[in-house]
Amino acid sequence: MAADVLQAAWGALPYVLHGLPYTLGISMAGLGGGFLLGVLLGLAGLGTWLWRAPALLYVEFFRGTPLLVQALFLFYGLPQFIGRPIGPLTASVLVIAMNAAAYIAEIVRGAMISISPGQREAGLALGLSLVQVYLWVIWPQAFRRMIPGLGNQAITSIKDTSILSVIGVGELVRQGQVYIATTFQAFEVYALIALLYLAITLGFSALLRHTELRLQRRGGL
Amino acid sequence: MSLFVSVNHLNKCFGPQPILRDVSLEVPLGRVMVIIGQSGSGKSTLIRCINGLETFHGGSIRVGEVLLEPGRQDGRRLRQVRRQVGMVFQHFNLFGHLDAQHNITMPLQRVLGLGRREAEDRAVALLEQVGMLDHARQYPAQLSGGQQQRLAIARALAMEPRLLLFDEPTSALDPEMVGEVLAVMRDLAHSGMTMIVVTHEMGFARNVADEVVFLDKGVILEHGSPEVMFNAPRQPRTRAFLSRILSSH
Repeated sequence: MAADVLQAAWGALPYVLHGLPYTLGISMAGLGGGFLLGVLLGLAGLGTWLWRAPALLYVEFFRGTPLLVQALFLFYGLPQFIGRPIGPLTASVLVIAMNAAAYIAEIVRGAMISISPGQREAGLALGLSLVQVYLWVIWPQAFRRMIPGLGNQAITSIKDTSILSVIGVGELVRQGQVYIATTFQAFEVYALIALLYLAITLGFSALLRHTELRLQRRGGL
Repeated sequence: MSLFVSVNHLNKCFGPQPILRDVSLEVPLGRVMVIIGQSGSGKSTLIRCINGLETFHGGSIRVGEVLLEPGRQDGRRLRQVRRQVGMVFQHFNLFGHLDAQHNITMPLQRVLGLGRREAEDRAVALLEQVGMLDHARQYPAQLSGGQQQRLAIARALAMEPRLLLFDEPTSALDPEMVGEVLAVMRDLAHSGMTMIVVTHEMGFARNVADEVVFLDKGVILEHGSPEVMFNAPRQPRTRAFLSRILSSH
């Protein structure tokens, strides 16, 4: 029995692995875009109401609606409205980026406000401009505090790409579904897919811990 | 003897609460002024107005050639003031992500535009001056309070300010570390640095100050030479404050 399961999973592996580049590619592109947008939103969240209000709206909207609905809306809904299709890959990267950005914005904002006001005052008193203070004093210290939160979000987003199977992107889950449709080996294939995600996220966690340790050794905080 | 700082009829409030009322003072170049008074009397707020970390509501402050007026300050003018005025904080406020040497070189490079070598040379000289050369590669979190404050003084000095503000520089230190910081400050005063010092260290005020100002509830109640202020204060509130603080030390 166990040997059969292993054999079935082994047999499915090559087909399922075709989805790996999509899962990894969409995750990385989505997180990269999400980080840039998230940083901008997080910084806007530190500004006056004029900056804060749109950032807050964005965060609340994307945090408060299901990723599944966002993906379906972007891929099936929005093309009806704008009158031309959005490719599944484009839609995938966009939806992961926009969703991650909402969470990353809060991670960025939280880390920035956790830096003591004394740091800002010391920078200003030395003659740095406000922009220089943010760039050279607050950001480097805040970034270290963002790492655990960003790591969390990266792992969440990697797993979130599984939802994109509903818009027909051939990532891991979608590949598995197609394979199961002809072989009916749901048990083996879904177990295999779960293990593949676990391998990716565990590898990522290890990388993250290594980075944190290295930063810690480099001093301070 | 040329005047470097003059504060004229300064008024400041937080909401309805007045913090500084009609405060005027003058500091000539090369002189040391010590401001004393109870917690909450407005001492820190007063010196923070001088380098624009606080805004004020009435009066004016002249620092060198630059005039600060009530309300939000023009950024360029603030930068002109801060180029000439250094500040040492109660909690040091060293940059936690930079080692001792880079705490000094970063502002030298970013503000004064010095090259890396030049900035490093200056940092090394200043670390030596405050007895911190052996700790150049250490991060603030690895230093004692006294070492951190000496480093903070070096960082401020590196910018070659004409005036140094000290905001209770020894209040956050363990007692055994107060002496090393006061020694550095005393050397500075003797070298001719213009200083305004908010402190509870009455020994320092008595021995180093040229003028002592007693601030009470946002008002300068009395000021004069340390001899007069410590031996023959005229105001009963000054006498009460001094006897309280001297008996507690």
